[in-house]
Amino acid sequence: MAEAHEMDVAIVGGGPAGLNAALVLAGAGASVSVIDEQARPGGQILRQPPTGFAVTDWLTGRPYTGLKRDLAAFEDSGATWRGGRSVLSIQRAPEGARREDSGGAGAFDLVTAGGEGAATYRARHVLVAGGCQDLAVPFPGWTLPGAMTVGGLQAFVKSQRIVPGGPVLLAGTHPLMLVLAEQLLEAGARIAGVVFAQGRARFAGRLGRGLLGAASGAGNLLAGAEAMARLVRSGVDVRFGDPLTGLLGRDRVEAARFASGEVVPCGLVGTGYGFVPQAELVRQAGANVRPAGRAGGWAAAVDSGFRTSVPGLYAAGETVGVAGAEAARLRGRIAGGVIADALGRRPVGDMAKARSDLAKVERFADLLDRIADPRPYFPALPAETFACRCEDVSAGEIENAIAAGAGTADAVKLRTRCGMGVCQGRNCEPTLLRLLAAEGCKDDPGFGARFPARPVRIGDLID
Amino acid sequence: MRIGQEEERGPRISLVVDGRDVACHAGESIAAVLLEAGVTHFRTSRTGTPRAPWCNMGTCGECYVRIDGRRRRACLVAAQRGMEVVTDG
Amino acid sequence: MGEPDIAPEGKVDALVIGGGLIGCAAAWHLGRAGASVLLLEAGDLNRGASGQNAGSLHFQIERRFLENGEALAEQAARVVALNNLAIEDWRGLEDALDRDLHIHMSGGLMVAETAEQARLLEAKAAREQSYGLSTRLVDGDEARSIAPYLSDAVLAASHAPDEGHADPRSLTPAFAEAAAAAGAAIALRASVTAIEPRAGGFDIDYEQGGRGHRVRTDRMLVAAGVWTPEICRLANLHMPLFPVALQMNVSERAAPFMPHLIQHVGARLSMKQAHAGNVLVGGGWPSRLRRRDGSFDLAARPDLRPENLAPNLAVAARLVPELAELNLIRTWTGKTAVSADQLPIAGEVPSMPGFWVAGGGSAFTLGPTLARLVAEEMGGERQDALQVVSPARFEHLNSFMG
Repeated sequence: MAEAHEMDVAIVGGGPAGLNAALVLAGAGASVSVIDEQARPGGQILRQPPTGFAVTDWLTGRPYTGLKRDLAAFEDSGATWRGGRSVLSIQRAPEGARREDSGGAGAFDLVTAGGEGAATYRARHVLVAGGCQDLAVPFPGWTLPGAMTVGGLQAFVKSQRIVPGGPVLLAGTHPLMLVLAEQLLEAGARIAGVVFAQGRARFAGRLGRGLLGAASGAGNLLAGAEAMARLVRSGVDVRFGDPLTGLLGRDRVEAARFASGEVVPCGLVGTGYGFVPQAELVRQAGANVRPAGRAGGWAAAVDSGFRTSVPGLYAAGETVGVAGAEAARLRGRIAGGVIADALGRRPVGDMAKARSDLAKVERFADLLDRIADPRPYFPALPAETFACRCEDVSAGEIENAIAAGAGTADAVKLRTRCGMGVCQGRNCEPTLLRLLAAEGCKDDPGFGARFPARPVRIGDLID
Repeated sequence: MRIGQEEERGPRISLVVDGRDVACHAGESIAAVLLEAGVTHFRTSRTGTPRAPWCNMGTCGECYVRIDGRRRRACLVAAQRGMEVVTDG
Repeated sequence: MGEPDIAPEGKVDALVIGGGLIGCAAAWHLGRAGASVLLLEAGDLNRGASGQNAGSLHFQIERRFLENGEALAEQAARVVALNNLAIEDWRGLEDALDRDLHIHMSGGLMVAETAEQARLLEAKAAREQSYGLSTRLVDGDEARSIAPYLSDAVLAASHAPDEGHADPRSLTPAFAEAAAAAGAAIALRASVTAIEPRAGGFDIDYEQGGRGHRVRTDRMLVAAGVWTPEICRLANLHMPLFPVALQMNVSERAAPFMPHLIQHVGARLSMKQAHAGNVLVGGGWPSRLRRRDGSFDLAARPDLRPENLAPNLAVAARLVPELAELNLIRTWTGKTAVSADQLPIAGEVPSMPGFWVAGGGSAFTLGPTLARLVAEEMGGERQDALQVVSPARFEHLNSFMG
């Protein structure tokens, strides 16, 4: 492995949180690198079109303007962008390598792999702003080609500028489906329907109560209500109270079936049941995590300064709890300020205001989270349906293992291979924990932290 | 379906996908190129079922294909002139 | 498997501590010989080294015994006699347990890359042959004709036709189920808190489900892996087993191409393709035990040592270039127990009749055999084959224990 590149702060993740932290830190004169798997900065929310694309009207909606400003500022900030690299692990550097002037914190080694092979970065402080991913929800037919997560589908639309099939059906509980439906409509896609599992009253009632209580989110909520109105005007079938039960098709998706019995023909499906933090690097580094919330998963446990339980390791953005892009921006900014302080530098910007804004935005996020709560609507999982799509482990195999005495996620993994595939349990873990809890094995800590955080070509590790 | 035909994309290039020439734009993800070329079967699962992109962000591993001899996640690799892609590898 | 089914007077013929490979296999043998058996496992079955090892069935003398002088190499060669028993046991296990344990015994190659390493192989093969193990020296070309995926870096190899691998995740549960079917009671999350020797046996206290229990037994076996010394301390015994932490790498699945176990005589390497298609690469590269309160934290997963990845994978890919194109999907760390002289410890403790211990090195390859022999001894049949690994060789340590 190549010699370590040294820096004051390594930021893992170039989304709204990572970019804002980098802006604050670079502004304070610290040496900062932002490492991200994507080739270009922006994170999932701003998945940029590839270099060479000139997309007119790219993400013009209200929620995107601040983010695009951050992106422009980042390009001129002096922070180093290291795109196209996966961070495989974060570990404390060996004792002798730690520097005394690191504000009481330790130095860290980040093992990364990317286009040009493996590299190790050494940083005095590390901020993990790893974003989130769609909660994986299994149901009959979910592994058919043409079935995707809403996040994955949206990335095709926003970044690649394609609609990979159709007619498109969106199903689940998350309001992001409305945003995506509008983007699909604008793109000229045929939409087979947008079907919420929860009833209209649950959805709209909460929205209404939220409008009264969460003033700062009102703009976003109004945007959501407007989106719904526009969709309906355009003839899109937006429905409530009909949970998805499965997808039909032989070698690809041909139709979706709902609890009402209705079967809707479609060629592309996006399911949205909410989002879970990407916190595996934090877990792997030995820092504490906590149950992330209604959708499941684990969030980094941090204090009000976004410090994890490992000195010198920070987490921000969705990694500390899914609350949307605006919260991620603010959290990144605050974390950047706290790290700048620890480096003995003066952060620029009004941190007090950032904190009070964050409190408002998080209240709104909690409202959205309550609206999107997937728990009552998880589709039934017949024994033959795969819970682990990497290793094709069925729900029945898992239930048998639990019945035979495997009472923890790791014990089930050992018996069934659930979680042993390429995704290393990122997708099946919430499902497995649900199945365990249903059998009385509650409060399981989940799979142990593991290396590498992403698969890596062996040749890249030894070159 | 590529959105907005008037949008400027990367230079027109072609790749070889499972032995046939496929036209696309430089910089598009291999996942996008394959889906636009009508490929729905990226890899075969352990029990023989077809799989295609699901998360489209590098997490799920459903889009592994062989690109110039290396197994890579199609959603994370940008198309370059002359690449050879083999599905179900 | 919940509450053990113990006779009303709370007495069993044999008690086993440890729900790993050896414990479960011994419980099976004891049970089917007609003994009433209780197995106590502090956590879940197969959670220690039995389930965490990489599943090699290696019968050649290991590199670690060759690099530490003549005496150790000679002692290791004597263990080879046990290897011959193990080969027979492994060949019969799937039939005996009536299930697929993914046992593949299509041969193994220990390779040399230099002339000096080739000489080491020759000396090793001579030693093995004198103890009745069939290994054959081959040159690089013949090695490549046996294993066409090997590169030109291989200068020579010794070929052992019975080596291979099995699935560590399947084996222990299979033994446990067979044990239960043979009448053994298996208590999970049952921690032993006291061992009281008394005339002709032992009283054992354990906790399960927040309640204390006591059971009386004539004979007991401690097969608790890294926890064995701790359990032995409850009986006022020293047992020189030491925890070590290792790390192993696993690739994504690939179509079957490597049917053999590959080891290296001059480098830490053990590699094979598991039944599911993943290639496992290890060979004794250390991870690091966590420490807590001035001791090793045996409950914690050891920490990875990233600096040991590249050297381990580099030697693997030098021998098998195809490996470089596969993705590494996981590096896992695990603990195992190694004895003071690196050889297994299995047998009755001379100063404490009725008290057997088993573990400490090569306990996957040798586990089924050690368990069988120990169970037979516990049933009253002396086993000469166990002499070479008997705890008697460490009895001097217990001569001071009052």
